[in-house]
Amino acid sequence: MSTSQKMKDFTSEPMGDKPVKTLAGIGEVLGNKLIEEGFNYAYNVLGQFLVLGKNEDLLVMWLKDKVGANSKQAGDCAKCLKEWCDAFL
Amino acid sequence: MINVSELTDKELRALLFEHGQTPGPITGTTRRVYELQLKTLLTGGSASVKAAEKKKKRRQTLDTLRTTEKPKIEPRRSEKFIPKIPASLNISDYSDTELQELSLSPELETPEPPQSLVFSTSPRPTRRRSTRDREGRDLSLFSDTEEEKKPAGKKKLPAKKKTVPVWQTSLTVLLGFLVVLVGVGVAYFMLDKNSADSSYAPPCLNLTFEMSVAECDRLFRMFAKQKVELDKSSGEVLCENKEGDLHQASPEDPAERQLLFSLRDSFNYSIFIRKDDVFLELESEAELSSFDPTKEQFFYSTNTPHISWFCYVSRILSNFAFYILTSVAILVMAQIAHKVYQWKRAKEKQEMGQMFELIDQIIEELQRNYSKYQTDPVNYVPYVAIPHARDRLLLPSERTAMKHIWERAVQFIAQHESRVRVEMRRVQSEDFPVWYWLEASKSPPVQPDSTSPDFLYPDLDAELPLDQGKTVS
Repeated sequence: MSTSQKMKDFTSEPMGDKPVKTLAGIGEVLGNKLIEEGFNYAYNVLGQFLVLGKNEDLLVMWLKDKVGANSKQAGDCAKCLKEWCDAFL
Repeated sequence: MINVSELTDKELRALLFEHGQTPGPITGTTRRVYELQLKTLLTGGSASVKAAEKKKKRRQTLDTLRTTEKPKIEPRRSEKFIPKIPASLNISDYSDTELQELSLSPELETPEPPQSLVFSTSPRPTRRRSTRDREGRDLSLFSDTEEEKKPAGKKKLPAKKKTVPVWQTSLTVLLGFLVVLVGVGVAYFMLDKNSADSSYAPPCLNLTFEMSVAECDRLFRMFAKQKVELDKSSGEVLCENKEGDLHQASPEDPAERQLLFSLRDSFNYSIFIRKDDVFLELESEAELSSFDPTKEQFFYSTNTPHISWFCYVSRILSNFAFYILTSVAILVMAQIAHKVYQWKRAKEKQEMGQMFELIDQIIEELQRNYSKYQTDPVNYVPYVAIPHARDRLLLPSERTAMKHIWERAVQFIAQHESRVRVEMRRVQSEDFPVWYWLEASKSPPVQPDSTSPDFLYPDLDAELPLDQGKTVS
């Protein structure tokens, strides 16, 4: 399945302390908003994803509600995290 | 309608289980999300659900099947639940395990895969397809670059407005003027022709000098005849290129001369003339103050020579030809100059557009490089060599054509971009000007202080001896 370069980069290795903007779907604007909300690192968002039961749809809802992501961006981020979890968790 | 925000965490969870969800812990950060989810589940037909459904319908071919299926599902599902849970909402009475069973069992019993509700934990095909368009291409491929790119409107050149060219209007005005001129001339000529009749009443009744009326009358008729002849001969001279004189010498007869002389002094010329046709112009070579009629020489000339209208018009045109041609030439040159100016402006605008487009790409490239450096400081460097950036962004065929635009872009970045710093660096044993991307962040994403020299120039010491091994991205 073809994925974006960003997703490939993210899901190819443990995320460690990667900043939140390295998540697929999270660009400059959204990244800054997440940082404002306290989600500095990708693992913060991962934590939220896990608490939401690794439910992509819920994460999409949460992203839309929290930082005003659109469906595309939130969907990509959720997918990216899901894949990362499938690979490393 | 249940107010979801008033439910306790446990009740919320229970209700979510009722609707086939498996919520995780309801904490401070997750509560709101679950409230939203329950709300949409309870209303069952909210706009967002419908929109998401529509999206899925587009991608799957079972459209009609879906729309008819949906209303049937809910009552069925609620039927299954109602016998197991009492009508009141005292779900907290049930233990966790019982609730768990309640949640799990419907899943086993209702194995319909294509659920129309968005938030069900449906099997993968449904969700995977949400990122593909109708042809099966993966749209996530375009997701990251879309948000980073500036809006597409900037790349398009503004549509050209259609303006009526000025030269066309001025030319039509000129032609109209000429046509009016010709028309007036023709009309005048026609009028003139009609009044060629030379029978009229002589104006000899109110003479103030001494002459008999009969004598005046006789002279006047003679002048009128001379006028007619003069008209004809003048016309011939003017238009048919006959040799001749437009003037006629005044009479030798002293009486006549006396009459003419006195007329000149006492009367207006026009009294002697009928307004329409006859006109006798007296010209004198001598000073007008001289009074000796024997020495003065008079000349007649006519202002109504018999010329054809064609000749008339052509004479007018030839007299004004010079002016007409020069004005036309000026107009045409003005138009050309204007067009050149417009073309130059349009070209400049286009070049600026291209330059800004290029600058966007450059900045994107620098940001990408920088983020790569951030994630992997070992293998990447925080700068990009300018020629390398150019070669990466422009195809070889474009490089010569866009050379000028590239230079301008580089200059613009050096002067007007505060987030980029230009430096000389040794890259793989050759000196290049490089662009350093200066990350401006509100809160530091990475722990080091963003204003400390160590952060801004992290590799200043490390770079210099070890350049050869690193990749300059």
